[in-house]
Amino acid sequence: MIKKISIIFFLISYLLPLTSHQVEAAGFDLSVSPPIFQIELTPPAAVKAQKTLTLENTGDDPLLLDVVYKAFRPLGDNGELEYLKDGESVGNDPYILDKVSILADDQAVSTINLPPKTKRDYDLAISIPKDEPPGDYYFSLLFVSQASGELPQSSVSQAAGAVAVNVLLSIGPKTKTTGSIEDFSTSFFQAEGPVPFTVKIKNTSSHFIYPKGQIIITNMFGQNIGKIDLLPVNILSNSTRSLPSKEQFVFAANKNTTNSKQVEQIQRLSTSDQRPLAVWPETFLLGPYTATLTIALSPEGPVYTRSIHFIGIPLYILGGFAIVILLLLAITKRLKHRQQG
Amino acid sequence: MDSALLPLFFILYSSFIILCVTDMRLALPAIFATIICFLLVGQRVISVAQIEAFTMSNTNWIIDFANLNMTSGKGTSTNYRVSNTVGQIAPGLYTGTNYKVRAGFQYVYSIIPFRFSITGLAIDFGSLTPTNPVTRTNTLTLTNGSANGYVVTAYENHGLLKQGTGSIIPDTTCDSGLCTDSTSAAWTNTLTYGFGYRCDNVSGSDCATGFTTSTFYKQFTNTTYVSSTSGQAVMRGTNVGRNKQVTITYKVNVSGTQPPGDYTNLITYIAVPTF
Repeated sequence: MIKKISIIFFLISYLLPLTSHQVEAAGFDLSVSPPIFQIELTPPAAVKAQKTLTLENTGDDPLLLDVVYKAFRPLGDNGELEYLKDGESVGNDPYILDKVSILADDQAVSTINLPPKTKRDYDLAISIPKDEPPGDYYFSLLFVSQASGELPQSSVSQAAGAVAVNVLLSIGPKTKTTGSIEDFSTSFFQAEGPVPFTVKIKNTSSHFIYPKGQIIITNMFGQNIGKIDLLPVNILSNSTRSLPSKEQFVFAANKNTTNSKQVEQIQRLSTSDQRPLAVWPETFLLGPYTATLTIALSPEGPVYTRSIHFIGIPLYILGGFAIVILLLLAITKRLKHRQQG
Repeated sequence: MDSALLPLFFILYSSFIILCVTDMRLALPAIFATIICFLLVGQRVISVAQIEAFTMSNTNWIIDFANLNMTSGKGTSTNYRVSNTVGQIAPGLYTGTNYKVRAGFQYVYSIIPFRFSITGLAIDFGSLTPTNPVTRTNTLTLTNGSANGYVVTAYENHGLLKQGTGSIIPDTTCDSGLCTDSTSAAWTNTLTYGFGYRCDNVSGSDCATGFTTSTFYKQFTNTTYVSSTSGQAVMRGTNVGRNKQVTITYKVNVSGTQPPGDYTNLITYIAVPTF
């Protein structure tokens, strides 16, 4: 009898976790670092950046990840992307993605098994032969979780997660960097600050660039009173990108230690119309100002400059003035009337 | 305006008002003087130190940004070196014969990784009964401290499908018959059938547009990520941030003519940092 009970108990204790696992909804929790690689090379080259890619399964469930390479092109002007369809040309070398690999212990991997709470480093390897044609290639390394085979016996939508790491690969020799300031603007009348500037740079080069630039604000006396450092974002070949100010990212990255109200105000403004804006955080504006954008498309140039003007008219102060003047007129009129009386 | 100057302005301005009331001839100069004072403050002539130490140069053209607190580069071999150990301004930079690899963005705090999590990978609708809508939720969380923006796109491999029969619960077109994977619309009628989702912000405001009204739903993009150019964004951020969280609500409703059985599909969420 005791033997039977112990067998039943053993079977229950053995089967219960399996049954509950089938119903229990597992999770996906993956972190990658870095989120981007920017690679410039001249053939022949054998790149092997050791332990440069870190994957961490921060969840409580094991992750079985497929490594997928997907070429992309820019979508819009804020750094988003869209993947190319299968069969669509990736560039001069249709087999370029075959020359890229993720290595673990010097072996190329196509699937990665990450136990819970585990962090692993991987090497990024690219091998380019001497006769490789020049050109840019943009692709993502996608780490896609494989769908679990165990599902409840009912109607179910199964979710799978994936995280991408972007790679910008530029194979030289590089041609001359060319481009232009596509847009540099703000509202001519500003009732109050912070002042948002639209800065759009077009890259007409055959390779990606990461221009560096600043906006200098001068007052009506020609004094420099403000400076906005622009974020040196990547602009892909033959595309346009809006450049935000660097300050808002520094604010956001250090949100815990910075004035969060100021951060939120700048972030709200800088993303209010779904495109990045460069923000001058000055709040009180009165009179004419000049903003001068200077941007270097590469360390070797070219350098472009453009100036715009705007006027600060604080409506609430002007309204206050109007009220004060009206009050003064009313008081003096009354005094005169009393004196005459 | 500089807050330290406010009391001074208040005193000056009050004095002007008093003077003006006592002597009308002072009114105009007082107003004029006040405007000039405000103008000088607005032009930052009297309250603010001049901006100095511009790093730009007009001749050789050097624009150097400060190095933020970033992770150190790592890895060496005989063919290349880790340049940040020799004092360059770009950490995460690997150089070797004929190549240069920059790992990570060079301007944000890159110790925070790009992290994406989903709770509840099996969204169990149970046994579906006609005209009885079922909703289920799970949560997406994203930390993008190391990228300046991101998009989470979602793809379904097909509508909810009864394996072996080809019978399918199609994607909803909402009450108006107009909602798609990019356009949301109200879905409250129990006689409107199909499968759809909505997004609600928990932390941050990164849900894609179209879900301000709590009854609005969209379809999932019906394709696989492998063959598609781009799925529809369910979550999007344009700044760095930690633990941005949204709740996805899945809704399914079937008609009386829908064959009974277990219907399944696969929804893939891809978190992509901006480049």
